[in-house]
Amino acid sequence: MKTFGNLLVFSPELWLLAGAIVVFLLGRAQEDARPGVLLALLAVVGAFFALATQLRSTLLILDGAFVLDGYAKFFDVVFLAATALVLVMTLTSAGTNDAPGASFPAFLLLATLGALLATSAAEMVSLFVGLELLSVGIVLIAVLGRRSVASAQAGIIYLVSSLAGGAVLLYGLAVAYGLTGQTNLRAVGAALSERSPSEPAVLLALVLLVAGFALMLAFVPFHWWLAESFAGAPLPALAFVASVGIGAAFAVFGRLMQSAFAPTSVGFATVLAVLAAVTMTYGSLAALSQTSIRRLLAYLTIAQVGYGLAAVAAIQRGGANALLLFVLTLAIGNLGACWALLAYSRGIDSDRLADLTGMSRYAPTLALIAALSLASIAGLPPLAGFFGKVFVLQAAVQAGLGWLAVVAVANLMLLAFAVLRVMRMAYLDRATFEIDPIPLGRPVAAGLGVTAAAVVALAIFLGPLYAAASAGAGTLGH
Amino acid sequence: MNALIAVPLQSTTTTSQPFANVEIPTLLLSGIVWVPTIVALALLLFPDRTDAHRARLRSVALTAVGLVAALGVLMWYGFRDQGATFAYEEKRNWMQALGTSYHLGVDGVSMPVLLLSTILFLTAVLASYRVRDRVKEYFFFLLLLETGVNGVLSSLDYLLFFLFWGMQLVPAFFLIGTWGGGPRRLQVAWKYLAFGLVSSGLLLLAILVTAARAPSHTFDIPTLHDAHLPVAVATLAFFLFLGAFALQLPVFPLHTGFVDAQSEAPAPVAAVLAGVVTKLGAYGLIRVNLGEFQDVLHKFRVPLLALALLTIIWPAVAALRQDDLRRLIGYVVVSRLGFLVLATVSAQPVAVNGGVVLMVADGLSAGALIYLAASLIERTNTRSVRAMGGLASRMPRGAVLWIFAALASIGLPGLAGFVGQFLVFLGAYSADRKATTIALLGVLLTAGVLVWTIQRLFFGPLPESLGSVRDLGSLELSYTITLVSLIFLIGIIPGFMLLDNVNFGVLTLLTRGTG
Repeated sequence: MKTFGNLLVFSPELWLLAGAIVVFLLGRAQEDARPGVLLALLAVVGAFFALATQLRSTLLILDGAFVLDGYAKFFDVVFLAATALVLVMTLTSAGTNDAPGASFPAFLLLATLGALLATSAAEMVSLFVGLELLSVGIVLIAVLGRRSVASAQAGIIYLVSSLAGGAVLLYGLAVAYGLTGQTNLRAVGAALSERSPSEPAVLLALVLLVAGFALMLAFVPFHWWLAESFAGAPLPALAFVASVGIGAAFAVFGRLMQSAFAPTSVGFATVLAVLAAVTMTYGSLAALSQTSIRRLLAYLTIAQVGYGLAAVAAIQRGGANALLLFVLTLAIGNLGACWALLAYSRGIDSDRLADLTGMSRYAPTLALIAALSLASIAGLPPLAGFFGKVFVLQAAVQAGLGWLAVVAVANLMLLAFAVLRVMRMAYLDRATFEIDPIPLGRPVAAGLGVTAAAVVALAIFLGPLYAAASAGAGTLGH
Repeated sequence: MNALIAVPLQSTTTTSQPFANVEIPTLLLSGIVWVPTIVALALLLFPDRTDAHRARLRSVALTAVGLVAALGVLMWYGFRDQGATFAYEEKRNWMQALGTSYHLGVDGVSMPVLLLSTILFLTAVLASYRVRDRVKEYFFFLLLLETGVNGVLSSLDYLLFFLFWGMQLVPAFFLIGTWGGGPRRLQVAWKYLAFGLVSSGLLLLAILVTAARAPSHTFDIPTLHDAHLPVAVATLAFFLFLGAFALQLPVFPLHTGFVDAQSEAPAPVAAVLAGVVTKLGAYGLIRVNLGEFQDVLHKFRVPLLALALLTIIWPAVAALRQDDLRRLIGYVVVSRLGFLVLATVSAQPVAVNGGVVLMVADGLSAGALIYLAASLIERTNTRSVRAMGGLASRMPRGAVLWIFAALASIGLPGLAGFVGQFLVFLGAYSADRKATTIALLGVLLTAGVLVWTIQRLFFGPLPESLGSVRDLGSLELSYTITLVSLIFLIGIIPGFMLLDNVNFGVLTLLTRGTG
């Protein structure tokens, strides 16, 4: 009885599911994607309001398979907002050769549903199901871009890497289950804490789990697929992966580490810290030397994944707080940067970074938003990304990972170089060619305006945001 | 001078503050910090196509810096250091859980430099009439730079301090790299940026270490002032801060990037960089390294003294063999900055008082010299000192102003530089006689360089090619005379700058928290 009564708590997810079904049905009737996108937007807004009614309490759903705690709610809000922005910005794509198929919004909703489910999963099976739903949704929206062979290729690369990641993760979960006989993450943590941290099976579980997420989140040396799939993915899919996809994987990773391994004395922090240092260094070094816009975005994302990983490494000592805020800043920075740069790139029909010269003349709004978002990604103060990274650094210092903070600060300098180089091209270098100003659709302008405003104004609202993140991180701890 | 050495703090006369019971002044500091940014953002909406548009952009920017300078003068007029508290303090909740707040305030150490900053930026906008290319972006970055500089000077929260520290770096990079004069401007701008980024990185680490290890997890500067850090942590934080500020200052042997920037940057930007942006490093040394970590400073006095002496002597020697006028001034500026390090390391109230005055005096004279040098270079079409000569006959006004600015830099009695320099030596001599004697040698060297330069530029035979050089125009006179007259004013009436409240600020900085 309790189980079914509790299902209503699922109303945000149910909104998304219902929306997806309606959009699918609608897609059978007509080719135009616009009504579907609007419906999907309606579903996201509905989900948001459904979530808003549940902001106050922590709720267990389906006998503890899912938990809607502050941690999950913070992420849910970020993911729903990011999805809404992606949907708004796809409204103009209608009529262009980049137009998403009619069922695109439905798959986007399914992927978001997967992200929400995975974020609130408190148990291994639901966690896995949520993540797989997310991956499959992303693969489908990547392929549905129908932009070219490249987008299909991007979809397949993503499919392969997420399948491999999922498989390795599943192995890890199976080993953990075999060790403890539990599927609930907290129970796993309690059982593991009674075992010796140097027991081979415990280490095997840890290695497999980290390797699974390494594939999903593109830690170096598993980063290659991100660069490859960014190189071909259609814009909405790319923006969705760079914000919601990576954010959701971090949400799950953070919860898994905090619930299952933080109570134990398994030394995962050092492992993750080393991975974080390598990933952020590789990403920022590679970003310095890119000549392609898409690959630049990919390596900037990889570098940022390194920072998120640093927050997970520090999760035993307050890193969860930093992780929440970091994913928020990552989502808005990436959405703005990817969309603005790639919209321009599509307008000039070139992926060469050098062709960004003159961007401020031919597309002033896009240039401004790209500059702001990139500056935020590089952590230039006083933009959102700066705070996201400072919190991570602070968490690392507090967790006794001072050396990681040093590496992270050094990488901030590299990132600043990489990003200022692009800003110089866009703003100050002489244009190498003449084109007509690139028109900017009103929906895209609105969506990008929101991301830019968030990047600039986040500093002002940090007080309440920080409090919300602290509350969320608090619910994760016990 | 007795007032400077006297210690009494009981004469904190809050009643004499004109705005004591008025609410509005609590927004003054926010205004001085954020007005430039607000106007900079507004500038983006203006068109930039015709000459009329550009003139309008200029006048809007001028209005902004004029307003800020007026605020600065107003604040200086109403400024009384209140002993242990800060003037014009503003504190708003920001992220309480993190221990950081929007906390602004000034004391006797920061207020004079803040005033200097507002005046220098005013002259910089006036002097920017030569900029014709991408005027909108130029003023946008110049105004952002002012927000960064003023913000650093008025922050009482480390996170905020860092925020503004980062905000002054990127605009400087764009200003040098885009509007710089020489062919090497891009390379120089990247180098400047690299130094600056390393400096901010060290600063960020220093701040994180300090806040994480302090007993009360806070970024609040006054609160941390009374906190006791473990010795190892304090030493680490001290050196991280030192690295950050030394790079910004810049000390020997890190000064090459700065000198390059001096030669490549457009004159107004160079004046702001030399006049006040470098002073941020000195301000940080005094506020943080001396104010917060005095014990550590004492422990490493000898190597730091050596650093100060090298910073004084080496660039002075380099200036001797420098032919490029702009680089020459750059070296002199660095050498003069060495005295600020000396004042800091000596840790004597008198010397630090002198350091504060010296920051202002040198800022003014460096600004004047750089503007005048730009005018000379524009007229003679050469940067080479050797190629000039006998210009006094063609530009008497320029010669007189240059001589005053140079003599102020030397520290001639009656001019601003003297007061500061004298006090620095007075304090430093009681702390370390040998080092101070060597530092005096540096004064002689810079004096020699500057007098020799005056001789080479303005006297001797006039080269034929320079026969038709015009004297300074009224616009050039407006900003150079502003600076030179302030140099006079401080020199003749030191009390104008050297009110007791500077001393109170220094004394509280040196005593609070160390007991």
